[in-house]
Amino acid sequence: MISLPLVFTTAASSAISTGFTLGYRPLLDPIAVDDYWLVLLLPLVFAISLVYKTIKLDDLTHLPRQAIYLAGQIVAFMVLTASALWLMGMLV
Amino acid sequence: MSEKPSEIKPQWHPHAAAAGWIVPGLGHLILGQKKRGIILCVSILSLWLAGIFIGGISVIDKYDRVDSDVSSAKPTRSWWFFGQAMIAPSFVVDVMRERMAVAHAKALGYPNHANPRGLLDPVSATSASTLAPPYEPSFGRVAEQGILYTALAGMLNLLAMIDVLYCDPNARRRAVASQASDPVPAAEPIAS
Repeated sequence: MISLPLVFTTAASSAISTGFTLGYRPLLDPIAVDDYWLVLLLPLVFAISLVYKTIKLDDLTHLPRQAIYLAGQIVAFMVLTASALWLMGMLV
Repeated sequence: MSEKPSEIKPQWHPHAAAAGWIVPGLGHLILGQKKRGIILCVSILSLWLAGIFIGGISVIDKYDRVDSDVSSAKPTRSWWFFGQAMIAPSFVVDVMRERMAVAHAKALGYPNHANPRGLLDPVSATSASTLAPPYEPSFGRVAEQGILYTALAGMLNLLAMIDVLYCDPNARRRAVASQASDPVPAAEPIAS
């Protein structure tokens, strides 16, 4: 099998149960990011901010700064909400 | 001179919205908003491709993934696909994925299997020991992330399509020009 980083070896690991060996095929097979799924929310939030601000702003000169600012606001609000829910869970 | 609301004359641009559905950002490019169109195209397509890269081709499926086992009958429709369908290439990917699954089912001896994607599941598949599957289905968090990325890319493209569907293409240009020609007024001198 082609030597690939650990994240690209889900195809091979599941193929063991079916009796053959597979290499990772980009865009066909998933990558093993189960442990990092929370980190994947950051580029998602930035992309949402970027597209929203691209549509919203008349002048795109300050687009990167505005998009980063909005992404920061969204992440901060999510952290605050998660903290509040965690606190409520601890108290109740 | 500042922009007056009466000067903005929005018009319908269904052709631009349709073009934006086929290729994200193309509608803005058609209306002359090149920079905006390129940014939308790159960002939305990157998000959509990242979803497929993370979860594999199986994240774009018009049928519900919960029902994807060998024994189930025809699976139910997936609500996530409505979001993914806001980008036209999702249909192409779904057809490609379905054809691969059907071809795999035929090769395994199930020519008329109601749910060919179920034969790809390494857990529930019974006779998939001799043929390599055309793609590996994703599960759990990986599948969630892939579906979320592709569906959100579609919903963002819907925003972009609505933006060009009924608008005045020159309104933004005039607004930027008016901001440039109307600088912040200087402070009045203090009366002595």
